[in-house]
Amino acid sequence: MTAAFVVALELACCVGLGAVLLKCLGILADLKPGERACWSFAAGFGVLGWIIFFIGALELLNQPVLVSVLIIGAFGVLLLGRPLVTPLETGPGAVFWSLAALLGTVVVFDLLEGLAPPADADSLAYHFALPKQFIAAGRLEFVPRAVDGAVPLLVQMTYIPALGLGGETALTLWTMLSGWAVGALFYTVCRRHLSATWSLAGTLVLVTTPTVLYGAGSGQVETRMAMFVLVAALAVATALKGGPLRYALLAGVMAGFYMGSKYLGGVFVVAAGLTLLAGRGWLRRGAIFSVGALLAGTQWYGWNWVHSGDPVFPLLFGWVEYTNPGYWDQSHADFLKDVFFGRETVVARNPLWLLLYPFRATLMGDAVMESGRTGFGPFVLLMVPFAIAGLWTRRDQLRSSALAPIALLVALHYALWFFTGSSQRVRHLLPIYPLLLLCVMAAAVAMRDRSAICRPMIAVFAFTIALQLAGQTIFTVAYARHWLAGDGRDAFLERNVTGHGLAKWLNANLKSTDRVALGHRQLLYLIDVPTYFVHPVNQALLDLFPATAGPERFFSQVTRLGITHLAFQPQSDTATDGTPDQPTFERLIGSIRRSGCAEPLEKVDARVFASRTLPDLAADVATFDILTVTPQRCPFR
Amino acid sequence: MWSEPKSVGLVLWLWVVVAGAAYLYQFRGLIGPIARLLGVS
Repeated sequence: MTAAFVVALELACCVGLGAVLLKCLGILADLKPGERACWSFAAGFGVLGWIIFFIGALELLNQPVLVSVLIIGAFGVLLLGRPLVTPLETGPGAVFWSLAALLGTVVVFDLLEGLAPPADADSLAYHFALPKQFIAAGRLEFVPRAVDGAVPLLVQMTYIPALGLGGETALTLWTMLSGWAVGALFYTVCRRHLSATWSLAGTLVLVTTPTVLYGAGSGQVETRMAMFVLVAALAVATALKGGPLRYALLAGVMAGFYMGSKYLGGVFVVAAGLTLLAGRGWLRRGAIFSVGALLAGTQWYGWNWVHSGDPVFPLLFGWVEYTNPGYWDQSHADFLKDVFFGRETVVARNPLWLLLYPFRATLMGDAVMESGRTGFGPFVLLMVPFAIAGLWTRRDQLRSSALAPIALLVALHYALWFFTGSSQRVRHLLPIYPLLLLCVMAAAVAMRDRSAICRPMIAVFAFTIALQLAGQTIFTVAYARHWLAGDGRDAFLERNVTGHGLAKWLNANLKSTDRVALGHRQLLYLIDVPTYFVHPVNQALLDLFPATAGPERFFSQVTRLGITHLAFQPQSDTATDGTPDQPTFERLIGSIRRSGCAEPLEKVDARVFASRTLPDLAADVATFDILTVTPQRCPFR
Repeated sequence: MWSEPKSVGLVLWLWVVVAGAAYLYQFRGLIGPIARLLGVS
């Protein structure tokens, strides 16, 4: 009950804060009733994340302050006015209601996930683990870890009120609700260009997209960042079509929220900024957009700069002086560069692959691209000829189309993303995917009056929705079984989080004054005692780099970090869950153990598997070794 | 002939079937695990 109340209050707070922002910008009155609530939530979601950063930086992360923020923000709802939704022009037909029923099914499936404990590895590793850590500390803490520590965390800041006030159930309900908000916003955006039925069909395609199913209900940020992108893109389009300058400011603020949520947001800021430069008045639009982006999106870069000396830790290593030389070194910098520029690059960065990448990502499920079970689905591929046909028939109106700036923005963002050399995971494009969907649907639906073309197009919608709903059904089986069996939290986590048995043992046997080092990121949120995440590349404070790591240095770093216990999975047991740090971590632990600096404490058996949705793919029982650090018997000083 | 609505429709149907099948083909390895998950194998 508390969880539901907290989530409702946070929902009202986000809508309220967004309504205040849109009112101040003079944009709220321009919006239709349904748009007012959805745009307000998107903007308010960003504002709340922005505010919580400063509260955390001021070391005020406590319940009274969080409750006060939510209550004060919720008063902004009064600005929304009535009515809250726009009535449909004509009575919706059977197709509309059938689609609505399917959407209802999606909502029920999402609810099963939202009411269950969190199980997604990335969420447990940092999306939820860092807010939990910050709440426990009562303030933000700098985590000198590349990729998932010292990164922009605006979206994760919105998890703090939910988790801090309503507990874990409020947290998972909040991610569910903020995931739905993307669907609701997308529907209102579609309604500007499409009928209610086509808009609902498009929304159903979006919310059942595999990568949305994977990320929306968990702590993954991409789905939620799509809200910032949708509002920013519409604001860019309005500003370019002669709208007031305040739309350029709104576009900047929303793009800034994206930049404050992920480094890749910088790519979107550049793409949106470049799009705004088209046509007369470009200088004023560009300047106002930049001010908005800087105000909304640079706080985490400043935080990183203050604590490490590098605003985009650790990408400027070698260019700027670090406040703590131990945070990063050349070998880690080289290795990270190799991983991000090498291993996560599946196709060459040239104009040919720029065109072919979407086809490869759609048709050849790739582990590095994560484009198979967690990809974008078949919809855009299947709609390509319909969209081309629609564009061809309306070729005379393309330049004046309201969607032209949005299509330009999508193309610019994609090209910049492709050539800037970051990871080629398709999920990183999810924030702009709804815009692509919108453009493709709007172009294709122009052909709806030609029955010979409309029928296969309807088949594309039906095929995609049926296939993706089937995928969601499979994804939901674990949650449905959990509720039908009436299992508790532990039983669910045992079945859905690989290696959970280790976390359970550590919680039962270690004290709050202990600190355990381990390389199993999916356990970080679940372990209630202090942890240190041992990653071979992303952190340097506990050096696992083979060329520089040695037992004496390792032991010195272990004691400096206050680590009292070491947990690892011996190589022989890593057949189904191999973690890349194991060889060096295990070797170093073996070395200090032989030197008398650590002694075995316990062997813990835990179930490990490769997929929580399809545990049958690869599953086993692994044994984890837990050792106690024994400085008193250690010869190293 | 190719600009006639029926011909265009036929080509589009062909595209939907071929591209849809090509998309599904990548998941052929999941049939067994999904069947076992659902208890039908």
